[in-house]
Amino acid sequence: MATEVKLPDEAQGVENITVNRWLVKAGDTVKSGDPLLEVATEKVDTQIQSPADGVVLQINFGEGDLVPPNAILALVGLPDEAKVAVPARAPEEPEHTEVKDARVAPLPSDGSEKPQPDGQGPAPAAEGEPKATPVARRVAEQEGIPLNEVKGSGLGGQVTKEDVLQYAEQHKHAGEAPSPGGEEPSPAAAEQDEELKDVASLPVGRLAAEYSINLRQLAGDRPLRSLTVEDVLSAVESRRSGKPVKVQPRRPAQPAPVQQAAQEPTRQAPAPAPAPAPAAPQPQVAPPARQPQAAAPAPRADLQPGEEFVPHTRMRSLIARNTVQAAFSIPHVTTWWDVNMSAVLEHRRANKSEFAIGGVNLTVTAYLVQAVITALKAVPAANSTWTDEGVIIKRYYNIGVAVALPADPKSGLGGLIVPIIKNADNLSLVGVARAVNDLAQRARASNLKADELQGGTFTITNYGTSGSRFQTPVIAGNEAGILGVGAIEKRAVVLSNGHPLDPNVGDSLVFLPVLTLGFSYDHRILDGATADRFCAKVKEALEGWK
Amino acid sequence: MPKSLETDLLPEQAITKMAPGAVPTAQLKTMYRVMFLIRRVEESLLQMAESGKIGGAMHTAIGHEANAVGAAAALLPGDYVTCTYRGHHHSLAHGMDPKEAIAEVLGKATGFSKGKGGSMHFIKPEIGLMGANGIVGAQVPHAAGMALASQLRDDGHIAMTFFGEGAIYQGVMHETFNIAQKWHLPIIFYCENNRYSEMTPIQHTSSAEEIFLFPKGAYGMESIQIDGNDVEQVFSAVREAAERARAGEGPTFIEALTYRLAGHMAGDLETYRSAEEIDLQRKHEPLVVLRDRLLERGVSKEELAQIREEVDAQVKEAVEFAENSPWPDPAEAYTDVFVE
Amino acid sequence: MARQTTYIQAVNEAMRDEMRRDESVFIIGEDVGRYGGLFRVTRNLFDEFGPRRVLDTPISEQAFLGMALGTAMVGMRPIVELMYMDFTLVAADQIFNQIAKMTYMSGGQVHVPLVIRGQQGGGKRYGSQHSQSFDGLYSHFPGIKVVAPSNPYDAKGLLTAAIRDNNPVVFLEHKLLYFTRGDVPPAGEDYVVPIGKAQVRREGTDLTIVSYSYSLLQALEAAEELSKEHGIEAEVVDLRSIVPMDMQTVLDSLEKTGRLLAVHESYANNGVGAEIVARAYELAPGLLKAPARRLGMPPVSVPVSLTLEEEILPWRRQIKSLVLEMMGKG
Repeated sequence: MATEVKLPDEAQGVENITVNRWLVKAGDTVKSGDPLLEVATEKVDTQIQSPADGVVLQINFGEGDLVPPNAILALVGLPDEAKVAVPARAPEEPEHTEVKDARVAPLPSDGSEKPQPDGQGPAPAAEGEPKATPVARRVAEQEGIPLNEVKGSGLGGQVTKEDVLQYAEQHKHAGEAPSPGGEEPSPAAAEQDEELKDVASLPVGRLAAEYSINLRQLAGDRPLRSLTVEDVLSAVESRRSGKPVKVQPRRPAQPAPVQQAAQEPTRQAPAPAPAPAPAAPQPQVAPPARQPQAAAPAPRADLQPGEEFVPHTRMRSLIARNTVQAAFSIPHVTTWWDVNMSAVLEHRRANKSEFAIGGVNLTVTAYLVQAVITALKAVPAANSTWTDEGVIIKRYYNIGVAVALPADPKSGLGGLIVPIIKNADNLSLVGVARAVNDLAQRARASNLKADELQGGTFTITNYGTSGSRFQTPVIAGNEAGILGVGAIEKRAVVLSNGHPLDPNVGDSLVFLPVLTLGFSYDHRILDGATADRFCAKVKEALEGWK
Repeated sequence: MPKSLETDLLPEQAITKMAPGAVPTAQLKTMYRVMFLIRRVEESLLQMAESGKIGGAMHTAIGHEANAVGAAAALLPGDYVTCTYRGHHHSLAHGMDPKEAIAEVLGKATGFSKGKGGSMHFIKPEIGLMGANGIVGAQVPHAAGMALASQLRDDGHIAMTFFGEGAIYQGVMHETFNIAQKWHLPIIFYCENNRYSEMTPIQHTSSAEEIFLFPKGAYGMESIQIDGNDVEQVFSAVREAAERARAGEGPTFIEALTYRLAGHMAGDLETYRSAEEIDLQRKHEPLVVLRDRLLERGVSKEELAQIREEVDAQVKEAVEFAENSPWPDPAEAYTDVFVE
Repeated sequence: MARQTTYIQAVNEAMRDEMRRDESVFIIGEDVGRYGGLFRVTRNLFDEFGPRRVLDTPISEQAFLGMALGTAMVGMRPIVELMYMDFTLVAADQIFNQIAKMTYMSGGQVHVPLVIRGQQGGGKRYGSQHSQSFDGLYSHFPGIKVVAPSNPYDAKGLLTAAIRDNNPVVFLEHKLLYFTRGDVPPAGEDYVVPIGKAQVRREGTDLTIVSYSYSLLQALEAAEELSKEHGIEAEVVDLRSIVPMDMQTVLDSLEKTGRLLAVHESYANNGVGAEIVARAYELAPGLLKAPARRLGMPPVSVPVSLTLEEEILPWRRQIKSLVLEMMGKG
């Protein structure tokens, strides 16, 4: 039985998934885990791996096609499973009993009767020719296929149309394993490809039936599955009013999360930040309300000399939208705390080479993650989500670590992505460091999985690595705060033996590696005191590192 | 092993009113052609069903041809006909092209209902065919409604409805008989009594001995019994009933004794009747009856053979057309729920 | 100049005006002619139009529903009165297997411009077989449009639209609506309320209550009390048509309020309210700030006794208490 290649479960809540490119073609041999194709979500490109060893039997979507969540992208299996892969068109043939023939007997002969056809169907074969249906004959003639070489699977060895088409397929890809699909799909497989793709989504179909809208007319040359609910409603309103009406996609009233977040399944009441269809039974193909434009727009007519237009990337549009929504709906306050990093740096110096032997680059970020978790456990409100009725406190710790992406040298525009370390509290320092390495590297290679971008509970952004001392970071989506980390600098710090504030003889200046934390928090959830308590805990953890 | 009951009501013993010779020979020859066309189409469909090309339930009217053709010949354009799911013969008798009939049964886009109705729901208003129905007896009040419309509009049309004897005890039949008789609706109720309700012989279920006697007894309706295998008798009986209806004299009930030569539906193993019984009936089946009559009237064997050859070619072409026709567009699933 | 009529008068006028306008419209049912209908909804029509336009039938629902279908298939426009909507079940084959499906099965070759109208609902102690609501059942089967107006203006406008519609339409009246009064346009003015369009009947910001028929009046009363007593401002949407259902008006309202309660008298289980809630989640889950709810009758047959009926009918008292619960104040 061939194995279906489908989108991973984590992609189920994600909309607008398209095929970027195929890394294999039909007929290639693959092993389980080999990458088969790249798909693009709104923010990230992801590879889909082969679920099994075998041969790529069939490829069902082309590059650039929109993929519905439950679609079968391809089939992988044994070479002779190609037949099974094609959905059968002709139903099974039941047993043939002689009694039937006897009943449908010819009229009593008056000498000029023709004998009845004997159950072969109304097109009797001429003498010496193989038995074949008229359709099979026609296709064989068209394709130039010698009928007597085709094995018949029909009644009494009769050759059917499917038999002829399969023969044609097998002999097209001479030397390869017989497989439909691939660069030149056979007519039957192409037909199946079409049929697999061209189905309207259920909400669209329901509206069409209720309001008598002809979907084929509405779609024109486009496939049915590209029709949206708004398309059908526009047709209804236009017909009702007698003039063209365009119904706009509905905008949700609440802000969306920064990441491509699906709602956590444990949640009862939905958060104020909506996500694509969390509770809907079947996220359907119809594109959602918000549609970041990926296509390049026409060159702008309003450019002055000396101006250059850089169309938004998907990422830019998303960052813009998400930060605007967060900035204008969450009351941000930023509190700054200085932290003496001596203990951390010493620990790091002592352990860096040992970690490196294990293949792990021990960065300051790893320490930050662990310190943050300690502080979150001490101040649970900082690991929560705001709702109108109450705060949802998370007892699990999915820490997002912001990664800057390389900038375009021409425009200077870069990118930002926040991969998430899931359940980071279960990891040791090594584990955290390894995770940070891995995620950062894959982020820069655009190789993150969709579920590594969703479900965060707290975010750390280390702008110190790009040299900044102070920033006022913007909170990510439905979190309670974001911890910004500045550059470690050697600073002059007063070391006092006596009263902390009055001048003393024994006071001295020491030069310590200090960084400044910039903790932006949601003032609805945290007040200054609680936010500072959180920061104090982070500072305590970092300064006391052993 | 189940034994079929003796059927003691052979066609010769039926009460008849009509004398043979009522129909001109030329017309009889045409009737023969159409009856043979029905026979060949039904046989083709049966073979296709039994080789798996047709899904669902398919009921052929092999042996019923005379009822359809004789009645169709006796009606006028504009009259309405409803019938049962064993109703391909009525559509074909009224002139439906076998191409679109077979395509419809196969579920192809070129069927008269675009593949949505199939075998049990033949319908084509342009030829007066107002619906075969999958529910036993349901088509009878529809025809009564059409008769009512004719009466209210005073347009001279009548309605005719066909049902099997198995429908006679559905409640809606009695409701309709009562209203039709009371309101003098211009309608003909035609019972194609083939002695078996699906797989059960009528004697097992009917308290009335003779079906045609009880509409008369219960509702005072004009009611006769004829030989449904004799196309001339059918023609004459229906012509007379139609004239009564058009004259405002109300409904007529016709019980036509006939026989179903094939199973109830494709795949019926027919364990409920014997081969001897079937062979006996085959000797008196409508194509045989008509063929003999035509030969008696001087039509040559060659002419009849010629007709059969032409019909064979026509049916073969129709089957190929249907098999090569495309499947409906998936978008069609959502159309025709409501109309504009 | 606006005038007032009762709901019954509005329905009567719609039929009368359409029968005057179009000869193919006629009425058929039990006691509709000489008697004027059990609830007098067809009164005076027999006198004006005679026995060929207003037909009295014997007690034979299957036959006269089937006959109405037959007349519709050949171009007439029957209005079938069911004395109680409960008798839908007596004629169920003709309604759901035949009337609903004829257009589809014929690939569009025949149209069925037929109206079934009659009253339904509880509140008058008629017991289980004469008090049910059928919006759920009718709306479940494709091929039949379902409307349930709550006031005389909508009643006349929707029945006019239903008679002019080329599809089967079931027009659901309610026992307790019959003698309610409301404004209607001047006599002789031709107007139509489009099928498939809902209407906001009371504006609000805290939650959206969607309802229709008699339950809508109960929802309005509940909304008034909630406003006065608790400062809760409910927006009340009159769905008016259940098939086709105007979800866009509901979603527009949800954009404002973020909370949804669907209320109807038919059974809650597997019912219209459940459908409204499901569609809200399917089409715009981001609009919902709290779980959407539905209220209908519990799964018990309607009892005769007054106190038992009051217990189960999902009216003002139950609507209020559910809203309070939804708003966190219950």
